[in-house]
Amino acid sequence: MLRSRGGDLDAYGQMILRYKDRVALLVHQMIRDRHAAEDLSQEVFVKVYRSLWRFREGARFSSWLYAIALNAAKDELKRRSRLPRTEELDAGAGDGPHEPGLGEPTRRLEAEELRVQIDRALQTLPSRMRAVLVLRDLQDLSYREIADATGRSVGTVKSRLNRARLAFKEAYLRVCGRVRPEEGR
Amino acid sequence: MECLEARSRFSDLFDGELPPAEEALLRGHLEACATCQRGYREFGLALGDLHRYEAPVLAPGFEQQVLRRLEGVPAPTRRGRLLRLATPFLAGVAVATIVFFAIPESPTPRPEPSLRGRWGPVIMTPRGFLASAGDVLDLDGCVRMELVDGQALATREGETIVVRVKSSPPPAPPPATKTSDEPQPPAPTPPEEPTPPAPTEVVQVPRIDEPIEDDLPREEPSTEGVERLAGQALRFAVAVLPAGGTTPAPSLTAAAAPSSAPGAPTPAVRPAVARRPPVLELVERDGRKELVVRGTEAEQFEALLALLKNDTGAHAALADEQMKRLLGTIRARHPALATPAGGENLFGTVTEAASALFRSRASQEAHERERRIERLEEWWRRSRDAVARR
Repeated sequence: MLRSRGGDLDAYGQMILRYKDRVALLVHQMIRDRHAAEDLSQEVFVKVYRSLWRFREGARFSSWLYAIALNAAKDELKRRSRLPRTEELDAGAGDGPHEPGLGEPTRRLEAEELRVQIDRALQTLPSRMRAVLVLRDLQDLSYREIADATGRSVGTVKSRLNRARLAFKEAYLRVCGRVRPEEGR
Repeated sequence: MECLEARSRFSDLFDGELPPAEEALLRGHLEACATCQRGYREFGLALGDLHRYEAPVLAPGFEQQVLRRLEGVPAPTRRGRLLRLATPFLAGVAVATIVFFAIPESPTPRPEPSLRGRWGPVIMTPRGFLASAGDVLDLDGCVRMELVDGQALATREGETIVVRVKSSPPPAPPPATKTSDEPQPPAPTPPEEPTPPAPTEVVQVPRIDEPIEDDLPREEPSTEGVERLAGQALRFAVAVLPAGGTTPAPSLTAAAAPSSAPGAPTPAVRPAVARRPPVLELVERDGRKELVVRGTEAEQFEALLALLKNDTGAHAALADEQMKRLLGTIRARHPALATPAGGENLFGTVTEAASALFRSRASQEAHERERRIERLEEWWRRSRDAVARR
């Protein structure tokens, strides 16, 4: 971090390598457009570099980075909401550089199918729910880190996460064709 | 434990965040309630699949592309950034300063008393806000201005730019016509008498819009504690609703639904030792589902809010209807809560929020619904605080 702050681009390159996939995943899930997500992720890293001097010693870099990525995604969503809608949401199937490797074809197909279903379920959630769900369940951040990244209290994060997970469960059941009738008191 | 309460803790249970006693209670409920048991099983399965998600891989060369974009960008030092940001603002301040310094040195004689030392006690910001020397202004959170004596100066402190604008000029320089060997005033000089109030002079200060602020976590009102409604509900009943206290209020359903059919749950107060019926209960009468609400106002509010928050099905309409009735009841019993507090009518806000909550659910605008829920929770906290202060 110190070397990056001093303008050492090699050191910053190492930081990009470390965080690029997480940032791209978060941005992709937020804006639901894989191609644009890659460009936006690049912009995020450029902004982060330019703002490194503002990063406070002792703070958690990942939370700060995610906060910047989230705000960039929100701004992109706002910008898109002002544009006329010309295309459907990215369904996430076979349109990106997803290369899970040369493993056995069956497993690869299953993984791809699972990814498409999860993407579809996530797309039905509001962006704020998606953000906490992705940060917690896909990025494995702690409540404290999510609170720092979203600017909310830990209690708010916990409550929102519970609602997000319940909503995801319902959406995922629908996507998988396993809808069950309303129940409970 | 109620099903709704159980459902609101699925996440904590899944993450292993529940205290042992609460976990035992919740697991006991799951064993006894087939619906919740299935719900939690599906919850776990869905999250299990989510955790198996394989994120798309970025195209190779991503970091190289970023680094190429950064070539030629100066090192991210504070000084460089400050200079870049402050340059336009400093230019504005400099112009204002020059104007002021020009006033006493204007070739046009100014009437007595001289304006020396008094030219800047009042300042007008772009928002039309007037301030005196010594004040600290916050211009839309973009620029923090502190008006003190001294030279015009802009410095960056943390996330703000502090601008110190000269409010009294330095001792007048010797006139250009004077020679350098003219005797100087003896030092030290006696303290000057307090300067009388200065005439109003208005300075237009340019505002800085700093786009980089958008990159940082936005300051939003803290909602610390608001979300822990479930645990606070009973305490609220004691501290906030003294008239109702912990005594269960009459069932709203009993008052609102005349169809108290035989066999329907009785809302009457039971002995403390008796097992209390659930706060919310879905009953079917004449082929129609009804939501029976019991308990103190606090319990009812908490339970209905939990239903509105966590139930994604058709019960929302019933909860919405009961929430409106409950708000009307609370309003009638506690008129002080309905008076403007801090310029805002709490009940107006919450009633509107409750209606919008239902409307937005119907239109599937889930993000709007989230906002409304948070407004309801905020109202709940403020109401509690307002009554507690009385």
